[in-house]
Amino acid sequence: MLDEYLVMLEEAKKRDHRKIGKEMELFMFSERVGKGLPIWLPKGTDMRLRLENFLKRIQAQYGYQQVITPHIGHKQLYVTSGHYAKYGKDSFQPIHTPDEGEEYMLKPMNCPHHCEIYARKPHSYKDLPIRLAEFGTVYRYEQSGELHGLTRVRSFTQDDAHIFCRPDQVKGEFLRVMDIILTVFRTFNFENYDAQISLRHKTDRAKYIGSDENWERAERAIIEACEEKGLKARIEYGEAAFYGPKLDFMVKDAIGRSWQLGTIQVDYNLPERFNLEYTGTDNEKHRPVMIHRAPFGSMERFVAVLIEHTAGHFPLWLTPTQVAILPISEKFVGYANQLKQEFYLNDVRATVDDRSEKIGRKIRDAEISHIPYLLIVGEKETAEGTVSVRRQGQGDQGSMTKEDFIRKIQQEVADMLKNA
Amino acid sequence: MIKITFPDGAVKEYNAGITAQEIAESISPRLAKEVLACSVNEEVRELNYPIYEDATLKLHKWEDDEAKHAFWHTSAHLLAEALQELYPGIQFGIGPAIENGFYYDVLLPEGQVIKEGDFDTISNKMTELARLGEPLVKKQIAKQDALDFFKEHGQTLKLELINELADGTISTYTQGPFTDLCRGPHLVSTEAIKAVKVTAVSAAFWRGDAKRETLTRVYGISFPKK
Repeated sequence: MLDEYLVMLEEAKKRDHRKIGKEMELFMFSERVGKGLPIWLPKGTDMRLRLENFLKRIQAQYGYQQVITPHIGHKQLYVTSGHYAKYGKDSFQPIHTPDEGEEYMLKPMNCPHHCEIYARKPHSYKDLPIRLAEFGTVYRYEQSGELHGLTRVRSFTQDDAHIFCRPDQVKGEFLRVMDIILTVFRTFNFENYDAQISLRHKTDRAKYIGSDENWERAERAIIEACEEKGLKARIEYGEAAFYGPKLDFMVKDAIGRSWQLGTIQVDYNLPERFNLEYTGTDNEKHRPVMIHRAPFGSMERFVAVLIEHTAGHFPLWLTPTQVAILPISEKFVGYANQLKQEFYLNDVRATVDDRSEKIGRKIRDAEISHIPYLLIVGEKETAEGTVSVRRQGQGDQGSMTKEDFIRKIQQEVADMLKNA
Repeated sequence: MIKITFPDGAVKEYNAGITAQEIAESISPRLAKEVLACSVNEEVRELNYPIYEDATLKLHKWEDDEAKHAFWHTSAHLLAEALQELYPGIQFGIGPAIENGFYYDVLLPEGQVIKEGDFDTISNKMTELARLGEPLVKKQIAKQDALDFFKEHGQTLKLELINELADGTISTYTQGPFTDLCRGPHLVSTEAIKAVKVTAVSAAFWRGDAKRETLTRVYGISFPKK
């Protein structure tokens, strides 16, 4: 057991996302900008936007609408949400303006803004569920000693969404969100996962906001939804957030470590505090239920986990550079650049190694950079319009026309994303 | 006689004062060997905790988080015992079990540091002490007595912790020459700790306060099998 653990520790060091993130030029930190504030470099940004688009496409199918809200909100917004009372002291402190008495907070969560969107106009039971999604950047102050790479930061972007629904729709919405999360896991080959249902502490309940009745209902809905999905879920008493019970998905990575990724949280509290309503079939005003969910958790954290799970060998559809074109000598750089351009027009991301290095060196360097496909081009290839293909970890794949290669990549990517 | 209800719903009767260890032995010798901790009425307890009333009982083997937690908590005490021997005059902060292993925050005597090169020495000392199979003995202690005891032993950091506790709720655990302020739960002895290694060292502020002393945080991992 100890030996296996030590091997795992060694492997973990090699996969440290901070190390790989730096080597692959995905993100950086700057003392001058400030600790815990990740800066995404072009290649990392490319990946992140691709991840966002991936999720946006899935969510559109499930009836989500994207919104965009400001990074700050009046302190009063967070007094209303109850967040200020609970966390104000440990947060970034209010921002003052030249106007006396005006105080804003950096938003620590997106929910209050979304509540305002819901409250914009009256709703009928027929309008529900309303699903608002936002890749919302939030800011939470963490002690500098607690900061760690992308997994504990002071600014992060959640793949956030809030569902406003009728009480009778809670379980259905829960099941639909679980489908989204499981689709994400399938696409990334996260096969090893389990779930945790976080309920209130059995006896010490002072810190929980909201009525007992609502809590009972929500806790039951989560347990039933898990049973129906056949999801093996562990129940943890005392782990619920102060405003509601939740369901967390813990994924086991390639070296056996557990990471909390997707989260689904029922919230009976915010609709109370923001006085959200809808008109029921009885023509009376009712309180909608709010469900918060984040399949990735946050872009930062998800990318960190992905890096450590794949050790930088990202799936073909996601990796910043899919193809390295390696001309054997200067003479073939022209053809190589032509290929790169043609690939670009067909959504295949390539780079050309036009250095005057030996081909063996180019191959090695491309492999170290985790680029999945290597195309060797020389006399024959330039004359015939073909490429000589090598696949990382699978060796020589033979020669093919550039058109066939493009089709091959596109098909491979399409197959990987067929669930989305 | 008391009624013990097991997780599968089975109910068995035993003499009052029975311990989870004895119950495990009555079920199977294999189980008795593998069990590390127990939950009596949903509260984690040592295997030698006497049960006097009807209760639910869950026996925890290594696979259970509760077992790992108690195992690594005891390992933290083992680490402290080793450090106390290797660095006389050392002061102890807090030493909890964590998700994967344990750590102990310590204030080393003037001029002393713990570096990576020292890990093996500490690990070996821990292995040596674990083999002694010293039992962990829990004692309830009055607040003033606790203050006197730890003051006598030069443990000023512990005094701060004791001052925040209510009289009547304070307990200590002793194994061999080492006594710690602790609520438990623990293993019944260090014998189960068959493989242990110090894995890292870092710095930490006492009470997480940047204005307080900087302590040395020694991380370790341990297992019931090599």
